[in-house]
Amino acid sequence: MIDFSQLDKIIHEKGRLAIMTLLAARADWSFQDLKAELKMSDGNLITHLRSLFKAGYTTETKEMLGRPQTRYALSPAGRTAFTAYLNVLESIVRSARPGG
Amino acid sequence: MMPADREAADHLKTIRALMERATIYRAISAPTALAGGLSALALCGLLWQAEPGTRPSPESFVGLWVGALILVSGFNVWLLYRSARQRGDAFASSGMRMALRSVAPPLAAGFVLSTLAAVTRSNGYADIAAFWILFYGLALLAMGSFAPRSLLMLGTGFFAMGLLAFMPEVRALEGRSYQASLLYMALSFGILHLLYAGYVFVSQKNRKPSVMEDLA
Repeated sequence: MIDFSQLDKIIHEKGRLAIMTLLAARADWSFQDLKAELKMSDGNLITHLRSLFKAGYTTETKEMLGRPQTRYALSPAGRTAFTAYLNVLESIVRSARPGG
Repeated sequence: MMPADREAADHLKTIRALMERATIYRAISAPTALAGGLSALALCGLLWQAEPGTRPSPESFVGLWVGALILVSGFNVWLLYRSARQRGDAFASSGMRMALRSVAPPLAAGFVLSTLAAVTRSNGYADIAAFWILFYGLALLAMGSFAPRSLLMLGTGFFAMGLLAFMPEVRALEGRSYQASLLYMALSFGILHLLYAGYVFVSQKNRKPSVMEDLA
């Protein structure tokens, strides 16, 4: 197993990791798009988004497009944490290689 | 138990796949390609049967293909609208705006050059077809940074066929410019679109329902 002590526990959960990955790939996402891409239930997705928001990793923007909609994006702190998480994964892979 | 390094490598692989999926926009769906391919073949079949005296003029020839393009594009817009509505999302997504910005210049150039060929040459059918195929291929390739590989393969096919249509050997068909143009339009807008539609139908059928399973 991956050494959990090195990894950000907030990101290292499959649902939140998937959300962070999508948020890192585009400027912002609507709730419906995230739900459609990840095939998560409303409750599950809301819980994970709240955890990420509380950690300061995401931002939320409310807008009106016919009906109220919330768009989610990575905050600067979230981007830094996600990059650091990827670096830890890469270092684990590198250290396992011969001569790594 | 999976060794830490393998689990980390699997996580990275899945993260990369998820990011790729998030940044990819498929401007032409399989149903649109199927409709486009069938329409092109039907139009080619109808025009092929026309006797020399009843054949459309080059200008009408362009008009007919523009009409077919509008019909198929309208179908595509309806599919995109329906899909956006089902997701409760805005119709003009960022992906759509990006796609329109990329394809507009080559499509406009193809339209202008093919119209000029129609107006200035009494038997310019082959030129019209060559311009349409080449510039449509360029439009698809212009979406290279965010289009799925299958769409780029389609663009490459059109681009290659468009160049081929300008080769001297094809120019030797000048006397049969009308038939040559229909043959090229059928092979490109007809057959290539059908091959693309078949590939996308099969690949989407085999697609995993969610990458979440990989992260488990």
